[in-house]
Amino acid sequence: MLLEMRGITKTYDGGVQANRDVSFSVRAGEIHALVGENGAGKSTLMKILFGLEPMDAGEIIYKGQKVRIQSPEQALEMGIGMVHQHFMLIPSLTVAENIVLGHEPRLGGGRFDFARAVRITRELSEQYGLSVNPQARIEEISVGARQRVEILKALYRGAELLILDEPTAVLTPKETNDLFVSLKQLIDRGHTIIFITHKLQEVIAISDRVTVMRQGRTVGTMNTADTTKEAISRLMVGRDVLLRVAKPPAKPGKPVLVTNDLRAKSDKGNEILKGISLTVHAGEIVGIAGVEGNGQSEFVEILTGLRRATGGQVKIGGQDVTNWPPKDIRRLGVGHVPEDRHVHGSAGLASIAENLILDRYDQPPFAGQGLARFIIRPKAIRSFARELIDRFDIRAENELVPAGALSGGNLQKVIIAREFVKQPQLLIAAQPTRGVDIGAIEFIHQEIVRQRDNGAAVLLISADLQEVLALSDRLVVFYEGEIVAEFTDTAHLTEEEVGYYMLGAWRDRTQKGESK
Amino acid sequence: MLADILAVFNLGLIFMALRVTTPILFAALGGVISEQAGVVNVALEGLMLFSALIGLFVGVTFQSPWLGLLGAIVASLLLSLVFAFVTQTLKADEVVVGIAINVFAVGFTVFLMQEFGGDKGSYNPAHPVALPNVPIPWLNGVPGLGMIVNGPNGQGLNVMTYLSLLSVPLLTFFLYRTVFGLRLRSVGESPLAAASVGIRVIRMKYYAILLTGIFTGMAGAFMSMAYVNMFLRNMTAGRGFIALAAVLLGARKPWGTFLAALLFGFAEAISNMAQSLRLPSQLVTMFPYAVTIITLTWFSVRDYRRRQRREAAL
Repeated sequence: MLLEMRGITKTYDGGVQANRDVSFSVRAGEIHALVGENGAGKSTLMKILFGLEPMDAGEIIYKGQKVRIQSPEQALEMGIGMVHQHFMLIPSLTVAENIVLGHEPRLGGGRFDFARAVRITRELSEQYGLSVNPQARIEEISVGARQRVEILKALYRGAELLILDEPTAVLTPKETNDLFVSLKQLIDRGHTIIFITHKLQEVIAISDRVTVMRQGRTVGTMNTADTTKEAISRLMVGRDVLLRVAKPPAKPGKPVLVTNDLRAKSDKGNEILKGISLTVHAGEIVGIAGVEGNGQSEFVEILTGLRRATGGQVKIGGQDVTNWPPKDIRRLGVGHVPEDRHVHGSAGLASIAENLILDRYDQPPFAGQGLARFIIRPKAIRSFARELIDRFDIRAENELVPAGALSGGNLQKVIIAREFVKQPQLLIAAQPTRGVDIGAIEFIHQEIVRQRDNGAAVLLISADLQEVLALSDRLVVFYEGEIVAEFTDTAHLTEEEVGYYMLGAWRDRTQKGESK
Repeated sequence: MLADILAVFNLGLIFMALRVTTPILFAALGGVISEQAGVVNVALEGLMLFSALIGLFVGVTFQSPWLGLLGAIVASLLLSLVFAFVTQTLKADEVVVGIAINVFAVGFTVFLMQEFGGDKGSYNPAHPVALPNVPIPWLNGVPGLGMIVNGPNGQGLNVMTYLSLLSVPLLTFFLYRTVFGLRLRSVGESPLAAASVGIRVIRMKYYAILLTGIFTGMAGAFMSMAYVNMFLRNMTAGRGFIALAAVLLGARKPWGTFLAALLFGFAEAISNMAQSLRLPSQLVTMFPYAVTIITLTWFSVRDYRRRQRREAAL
């Protein structure tokens, strides 16, 4: 064994138990996949190994010796390198400068030897088949190239054991393939790789062994050759059937949300929505599937008044609300669970109670009427908050805790509570369960279905295909700012089928089984 | 005849501009170092003012302008150390602490003058000391250049002016050719990435703040031992902030900052020259500040447009 981690336990300040008595071992010369859902504890375990987080208990044995790793510097000295999910590169510096930073070749007098840095980079690049241009600035090169720089950086520092944290999350399929080829070469040269991912096909494609984590524990390690995607996913989720929500058939009523040829520009000024026409009826859940960045976020922003439409029309409950301000749209009975709960969903320094009345602070019973509506009523707010904390099972000491101190799942419940309790006629839920633990996911799913059954029109946007498939009564696929497919029968739909549309391989399907 | 007068006026103006640019340039180069390390150092003004008085005290006491210069630098370093400790170790907000230091410097220098000089408005030592001017007589033979470097009376530019000009290429070399400079810039641009390769971010920021202190110390010494040979209440008169403006206008780079400082220096020189004309003095003294505001606005607008274009191009 090259590396053994035993009994690793880690509890964060907020009380989140990220690792519970985790054991994990890696053989020299293997690619070891570490898989698990968001929040399963993979990243924490690797941060401990790389010296970024201290552990509360446990031991690490590396190359037969018990070691204490207290900083990335120490980890690097031992030959452990890490490529972070968010690259640790300096954009305005060159590739060569980034690679040698911290261990720079010098001329006399403290001068930096740029020429040698370039040479070193070139040699490393050739040796490992990771092609980069040493003199290009990081800000000028592609994401895939940046990742190669990160790997080279670790190799320059003498890394024998490389930790790659979700390396393919930001890559195109071709870049992913190239990366896999490079990783195989690294193994041939005697390196060892820990590969964090939650994409099962990658586990099968590249790894020798796989360790599965769930809720802070390791639940199994096996030879990849002896297992299947299905077996791994069962271990990851902890049950056989993946997220099928029990729900009665939908009874769609009158149309609530109607968009007609809706167009918009992105922040960068390019056309991100190219004419979206979509109707959501009362009592149905319409899901939007799509790879992120295909216009879903902008679509939601327009519906909720956070972005201007450059063309087309939005109607809610028969009213033309195109480019109305958010407050007026909300007053029509629109609930919005934003995709980023920190940026648009909550005010981190404000209390749970304050966050729960963000869109109704000026209405009875939280404020008076007439002139008195400028004065808020703390008692009414607190008792309202206590009621919701109870009903939505928000785990917090009391209603005055700042929202920013809550864990992701609990904060999401605060937002869900605020948006759901007003019984909206239209509910827009973007990534409602992102980064939320399994228990909370089920709860949120049930609440969404309950809203539907109470007659709300629900628009669901999620990057998690399983979630969209499980919840939606009807499903549309966004690709490059257009609806490229619509499915009315979601019960028999497979992920693969939807995936082809999401990735742009297929287009223009309106009904299952018949193409336009 | 008229043409001759105009020519003299113009070249004399350059001489004067270089002279009044000196403190702005020193402070601005100091600001460049802090900015490159990701520290917002708005204390330039206070550091300059404080070191001007302490430097003069030391210089007069030992009757040596050089010890005065050293005293000014040490004073500036001490106050910079306070700034570094409070902002980097105790993690207080840099802008707030910077403003506090500026306010402190005004009050404390007045207090010191009162205690040791008996006057709240100025400290005018009986035996002042001055950092020497360096005339280069043989350049008088070169038409134009003689006037620029030696001035209308042939007294020459101050030694600190030459030092400030020399500092521009030196700082460029330091920031872009040394390992230390590379690390400093990386800390400023992306502290997390720098830390991940083992660079000690807090320590680098301390170094940067202290280096800034050396430059503001030199700026202060110039004010009280070269520009004039005395100390006046609040004599820096916003030069630290103009320097800060020069840093931003110069895109945080030494040469750009030098050009921006020179621009502000010219504005001040013109204002000085124009005081002999029959213009309302308030209007004339306002001139350099107005130039600062206008150029900064112009720069921001340009920067904003460029950013928009770049984003659109992506």
